[in-house]
This record gives sequence, C-alpha cells and structure tokens, in this order.
Amino acid sequence: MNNRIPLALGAIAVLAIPLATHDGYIIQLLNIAILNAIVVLGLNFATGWTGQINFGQAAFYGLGAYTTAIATKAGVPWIATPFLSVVIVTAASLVLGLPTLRLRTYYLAMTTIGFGEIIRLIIVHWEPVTGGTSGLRAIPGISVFGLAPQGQIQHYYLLIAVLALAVLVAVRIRQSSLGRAMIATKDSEIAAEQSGVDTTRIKLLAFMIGAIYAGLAGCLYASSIRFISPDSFSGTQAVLLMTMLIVGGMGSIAGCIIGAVVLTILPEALRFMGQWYLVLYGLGVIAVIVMAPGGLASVASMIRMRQASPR
Amino acid sequence: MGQLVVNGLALGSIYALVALGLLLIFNTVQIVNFAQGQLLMLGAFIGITGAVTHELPVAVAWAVTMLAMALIGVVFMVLVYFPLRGRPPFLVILTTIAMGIVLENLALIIWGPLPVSLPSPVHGAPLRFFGVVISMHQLFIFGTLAVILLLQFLMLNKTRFGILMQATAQDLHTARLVGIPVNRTIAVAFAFGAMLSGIAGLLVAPIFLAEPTMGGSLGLKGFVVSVIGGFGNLPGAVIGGLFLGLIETFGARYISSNFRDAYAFIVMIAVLVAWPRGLFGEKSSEKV
Amino acid sequence: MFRMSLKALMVGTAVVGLSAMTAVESKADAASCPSPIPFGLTTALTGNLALLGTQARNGVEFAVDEINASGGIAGKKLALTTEDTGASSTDALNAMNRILEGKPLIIFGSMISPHVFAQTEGVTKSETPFLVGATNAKVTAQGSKWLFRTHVHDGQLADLIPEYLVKSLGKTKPGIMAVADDYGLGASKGIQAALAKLNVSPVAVTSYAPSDKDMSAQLLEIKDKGADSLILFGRPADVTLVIKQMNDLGIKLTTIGNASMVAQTTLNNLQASEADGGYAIGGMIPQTSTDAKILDWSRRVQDKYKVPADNFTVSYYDTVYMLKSIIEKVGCDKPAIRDALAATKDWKGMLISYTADANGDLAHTLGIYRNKGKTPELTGPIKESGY
Repeated sequence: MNNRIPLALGAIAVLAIPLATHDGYIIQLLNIAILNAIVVLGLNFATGWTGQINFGQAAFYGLGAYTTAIATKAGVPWIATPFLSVVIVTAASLVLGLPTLRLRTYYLAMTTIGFGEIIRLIIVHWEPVTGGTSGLRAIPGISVFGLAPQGQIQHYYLLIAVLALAVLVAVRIRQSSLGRAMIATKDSEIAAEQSGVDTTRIKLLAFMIGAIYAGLAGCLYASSIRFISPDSFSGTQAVLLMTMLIVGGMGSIAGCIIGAVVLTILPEALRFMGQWYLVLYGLGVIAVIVMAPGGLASVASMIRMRQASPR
Repeated sequence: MGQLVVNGLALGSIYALVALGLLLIFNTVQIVNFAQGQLLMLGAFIGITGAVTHELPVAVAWAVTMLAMALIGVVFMVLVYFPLRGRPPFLVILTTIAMGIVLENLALIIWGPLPVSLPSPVHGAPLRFFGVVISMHQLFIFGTLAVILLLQFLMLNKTRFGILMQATAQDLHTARLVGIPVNRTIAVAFAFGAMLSGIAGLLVAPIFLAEPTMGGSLGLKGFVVSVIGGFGNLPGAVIGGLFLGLIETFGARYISSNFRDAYAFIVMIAVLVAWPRGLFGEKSSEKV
Repeated sequence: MFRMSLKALMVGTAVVGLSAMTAVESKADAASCPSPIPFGLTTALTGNLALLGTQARNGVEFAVDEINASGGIAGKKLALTTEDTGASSTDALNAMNRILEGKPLIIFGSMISPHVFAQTEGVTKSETPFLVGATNAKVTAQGSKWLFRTHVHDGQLADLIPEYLVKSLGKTKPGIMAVADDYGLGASKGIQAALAKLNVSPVAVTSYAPSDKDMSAQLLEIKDKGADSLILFGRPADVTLVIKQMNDLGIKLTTIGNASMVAQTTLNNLQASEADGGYAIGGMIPQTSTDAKILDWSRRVQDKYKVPADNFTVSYYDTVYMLKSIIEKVGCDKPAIRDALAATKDWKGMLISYTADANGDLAHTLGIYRNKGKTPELTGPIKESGY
C-alpha cells in the first residue's frame, strides 16, 4: 500500500515530462530509451528469471524492425505488422532455442552471439530486400484505422502506454506458476526437474516471450524512428542490452527500465568525454557487477538495509 | 588449392594460440575470458612500442612484451578474478567483456586508431614449391605453435608446478586444504594465459598489422575454437583451431567470401548440436 | 505652388526615406548575421568509423580557425559546435537532434552515408543547409533541397574506374574486391553495372568484412579465375592488407581502386615494391600537389591533428570557405544561402572547382593517381561526363 503514492507521483511525473521539454532531442532520446526498456524487459525473461544467457536479443529486435519496415514499405497496412513481427521472431526464437536447450553457460553465450552475427550478416548482404548497410529509410509510420501519431511527443505517450502494458504482462507472468518455474530453473535446473518442472519447455518459453517483446519493440522502433540500419542491431548492441539488464538489476522489472533509461541517456550526456566515455562505461559496468550485483534497482534497498541494521 | 591449405593453417595456428591462452585460464579457474582478444592486441602494441618506437632489437622487444604480458595477466586477475570469485559465470562473462571494452578504448586513446606494422623476427625469401608460397613468417608461426605446445605439455605433465595447476583446476577447495599455494598457481595461469595471447599478437602484427580493434574478431574465433575442441581440452583446441582456419579459408574461396565470419559460428553450432560437450569433450563437469 | 511643393516634399521625403531604408537593408545583409555565427557539425569522432569521420572535423575546424584568426565573416566570428555521431545511425540521429537544438545557420554532415541517410529528414524539416561528404550515390537522390554534397561520390567512381581500366589501361578481365560495408558494396554494384555497359564482365566479385585480416582466399579466387586486373574498394586499413597479401602470394595484377590506394595511411605501412604501380581514382588529395602553399597547408593540418590530410579534409575545408563567400554576399538568411549553393558555378577550391547540379552535387572533378614506389603521383584530373 505504501508504494501507491510514490508510484502515482512517478506516473504523473513521467506523463508530464513532454510539457517541460517540448518536442525535440530529449523526447526522441526518451522514446529510444522506452523502446530499449521493452527489449530489456524481454531479455529479463530468459536471462534474469530463467538464467539463460542470451546475446541474441538485439537480433530479435532487428528482426522485428526489419520485418515491419519491409512490410510497410511494400504496402502492407501497419496494423498487420505487429503480428508479422511476432510470427517472425517466434520462428527465429525456436530456431535459436531448440538446439541450444542442452547447452551450458559458455556454450550458450557463444551460440547466441553466433546467432546474432549470422542474422546481421544476412541483413547486410541481402541488399535488395533489406537495403544492406545503407539501411531502410522513409519507413511509413504507425497508422491504425487512419489514426497516426504525429511528432515525437505523441509517440512518447504511445510508447509509455506500450511499456506499461509490457510491465503489466511481465508482472503477471512473474506472479504466475510460469514465473515461479522460471526462477526455479535458474536457481537449480536439476532441483527444478526433480520438482516436476519441465525445464526444457520453460527455457523455450522464456526465450520466445523475450523474443516477442524484442520483436514488438523493433516494430515500434521502425515505425517511429522511421530509419533502420544493421548497425543498430549488432553484437555491440547485444552486449549493451545485457549491461542494461545487469546495471539496472537483473530479475527486477523496475531494474530493466532503470538500466535501459540510464544506459540510453548516459552515452549522450557524456559525449563530451569522447573516447574516455567507453573506458568509463566499461569500468562502471565492472564496478556495478562487483559492488552491487543486484544492479541499481537494488541500491535503494541496499541503502535501506544499511540504515536499518543496528550499529 | 595448396595455397589455401597453407594460409588456412597459418590463420588456424593463430586461432589455436588464442584458444590455448583462453584454456589455460579456464582450466585453472573456470572462467572464460572474453577479453582474450584484447590481450592479443596489447601484446602486439607493446611489441610495436618496443621494436618500432624504441627501436629495440626484435628479440629484446619480444622478451619485454612477454614480461609485460605476464604482469598484465596478474593485474587482470586481481581486477577481475578475485572480486568475482563464486559469482555466477554469466556475471564473469559480462565483466570480462567490459574489461575488453576498457582495454580496447584505452589502446585507442594511447596508440590512436591508425594501423601499424611490426617487423617479423624472421627474414628471408619465401619458399615456393608446386605453385604454393610459404613465407618465412608463416613457418615461424607454425614453429612457434609447435614449441608452445611442447612446452605446455611438458610443463603441465612433467613439472611439479604443472601438476599443482592441474590439481587446482580439479578442485580448488581441496587443493587449498592440501596446502597447494592456490593463489600463486592461479596467478601463474593468468600470467601464462596473457603471455600466450601476447605471443599471438606478436605473430599477427607483421602480417595483419596492429590496430586497437583487432582483438574483437580474433578473440571471438578463439572462443569458437575452444568450444569446437571442447573446453579444457588442449589438443582439441589446436586441432579445432587449425580446422577452423581451413574451413574459413576454403569457405571464403569456394562458397562465399561474404559469410566468412558466419562459417565459424555455423561449424560451432553444428558441433554443439551433435556433441554438446564439444568434439573432444570437456574436462570438467558441472557441479550439482 | 506652395501646396504642390508640400505634396512634392512629402513624396520626395517618402521616396528618399524608402530608398534610404532599402539601401541600409541591402548593406546590412552580411551585418545582419548573429555574432558569433553558429555552425554545426556532426561526424564520427569515436567508434570504428572515427578514422574516417575525424577528417571532416579536421577540415571544417581548420578552416573555421583560420577564418576566425583573420577576423571572421563580415567581422563576426564563427562558432563551431561539434557532436559525435559514434558508430551507429541511431546515435547519429541523436547527435543531429542535439545540433538542431542550437539552431545553427549551417550544418555539416559526415562522409558516412548511413548516418546521413538517418539525419536527412530531421535537417530538411529544420530548413537548414546541410553540407555533406557522404559518398553513397543515393544520398543526393533523397529529394531534399537543403542537402548539398561537396565531395565526389561512388556513382562517379563506379563509372570512371571501369572506363579508365578498360579504355586507358586496356584490361578486360577484372576481378572485384570490396569491403562489405555500405561504401564498398554500393561501389561494387555500381562498378559491375558500369562494366556491363562496356561489355566487360568481371571474372570474380568478392568482398571481405571490415574487420577481416586474411583476404588470401578472395585473392586466390580472382587469380584462379584468370583476372588481368583488380578493382579494389576499401578503407586504407584493409586495402593495405590486400596489397601486402597480394605481394606475399606473388600475384601480379594491375590494381585500381578508390582513394585508399594512395592514402598516406596506406602507404605508410607498405614497402615501395608493394605499393608501386597501383592506380587510384578518387577525390583529389593534397600530397601530390606541386603548389607549395597546398603542401604547406597539408603539413600544418598533419601537425595539428597527427593524421595526414586526405581528400575529405580538403573537401570540408573548401566547403567552409565556399560558405564564407556565400554569406558575405547574401548574409545569414538560410533560404538565401541554400539558393546560392544551388546556383554555385565554378567556385574555385583548393584543388578543384565546384558547380552545383540539379541534385545538389557540387564536386565533379576527380584525380587519377598512380603510385611510384610509396609516393603517389597525379596522372591528371578527370571530370564526370558533362563537365
């Protein structure tokens, strides 16, 4: 009950941001941050809750974006694209998920990296369809029965709504038996099997749900930024998504959003540092992992615990 | 076609060396160091700083580089291994990746982005027979790999220290209980692991030039090789490395040069699907 | 008479007053500029494209500093704001948004085509002249009347290189090797089309990833298929490796490529015997000039930025001075500047002249170079057909 008031205040603050900053750079940046947050929420299912390391999330993000861009540029009405994206990424996640179910940590990491690279290479070299390295531009925007958001601010509200939906779904899953099974699989696969959990099915589901989140975010990305190119979905981006999850707080829904927002805004805010920014970023990630493995989301509770402990 | 074999094996030897360095560390502390490629890059640049900037004789530059890499290996251990002992492996993966990013960008700041060349320690005209050209440097690469394999085998199996390292790898806690100087053993593993990558860097720079981003791709291929051979398996790594070098070269020539990087991953995935523990099986088993 | 005089006086005053006002207005065009005059620049300063991207910053900044040192434009100094686009197009978009917030008079874009593609819509909406060096042929086909390109582009290269190879060098069996990024693959396609028009088909078309180090497989394929020449499109780092490996393998082919073949960064890492004989057609570089002033300029740029000046540095430097002469004529009115850019005819830059065509392309002269040992020599300028 205590959480309601700060939550409501937070919601009002979030909704009021465009009033303070108007159209432009910051809103577009926040829109990208929100899209990243949805992708990271997806990553959380497989990695945060089920313990399956996944460096392929950027590839699913890209698949959703490219499916949408290619479809809408070919004249398909926008309303069909979320479904198309979901179909494509679900298929891809099965292709990635099925063979990798037996794999352990390092092998899984390498396989997901490989998957991401292969997808990127296909996008780069299938030039007639994907535009190759030039990317696709002039992508038609979101349009549902004639209604289309105009300008970054309207997109902002739309994306906030989608994020809220994504969070709700995630919360419900977490509280369901599926969510519990996921966490059990992460803690100890052997023990979970003993308790009757079909870990194979759970891992596959986690992958798929995560891919669907990323695919839908990709669909929105293509339709709101309206320009895509393969470098936005590369292996570097996959690592970045993973660090957003960890820095924000692996396993925590709030952490996903915090991590995405912080690591989308930080590189822009620290641009003046030039090359040093990446050095700082690397050291910062290490610092968070070493000192606050629960990520930024846990910092608040860590401080509270320290204050509460008797001296 | 013979030329493809020679070039493929030379490339594969480099991959094998990266994998050997990787596995030395993994065998001891169960960590896969995703920054191994960046260690290769550092080796190349330190060698260049010695041989080109300070005009040291090549042999001296090599010696200095190896000492420097040993030191860097120990520093790496202190920064990455000790703080993360006992943490889930995937956090360690992220940490080593982050370390790689730090090293790469520090290198960009220190040495700049322009590619630089390192002279080879060997000179002489290339050998030519049956239409195949083998350069002196390629022979040097093969020779170095052979020497290192021999030394590694001898050290691990014939010296007391090597046997201690194997014991530490088997079971850290028991090793410590039995009085084995575990920390020293681990430090040596990191030092040698870094040195091996440094040597790979010194071998690579004369033919591929050195630039700060060179580590990413080579490191990745090293991991792929380790996976193909089976983690923990040294001969597996070497065979895997040579095999990958050949596949990449032949694939680029006869299938498509566009998807060269993909061949490594496709082979890796194919191997894993059939043998989830690698071609030769990994040494360690998962603890329950 | 008095009444007429009054009316005449009134009309006279009105006429004098009006003409006085307009006279003041036209002289104030340049003086109507804000102080300082805001220029914006976005380019890759970090990331894997930084080696290329920083040349834009070097050229623009060097010119801006020179102009400011000699008093600015019409007495007003220039203020250059630079934003780093990093390596990804999303970051490039963000960088452009930041620059737009400062409401610059002119924006310089980079030579990295995917970034420029991402940025064009935003700049066009802001109705700001957008000067770029991006070389993908389709950059000026986007239909934005605010975008102008002041460097030669891949479409011209794709036509001129095959023509020179076939007609002047007499080679009819080329192999093609291109770096697998936007730059290389776009050029490769264009080159294949141009060869087809000359009734020549390449014996092999290959590519390599930007981070690839071993290109021997591609070279062997080209040799095995009986090529008599190699068309090579890449960045200095990888072109160096291709040339080295070609020599190591004992493959002797007439090689022609883009400006990377004669770039300082390439030649610094090659032996004289390896580099000798290679041809390049591309944007003109300063190092081969016989004009002592240009060589001095090149040396000063290298001293300041620690990397040799290249064709892009020259192009961006020229562009700043071109804008200076335009602003001095039409003042700081963005539409007027745009119109003046579109009407540019034979503006003399450091190495070439600039004339605007209907698409917004201003550069139509390229250089043909040949390496003599490690020194490039200018064989001559070559113009796009029609110029």
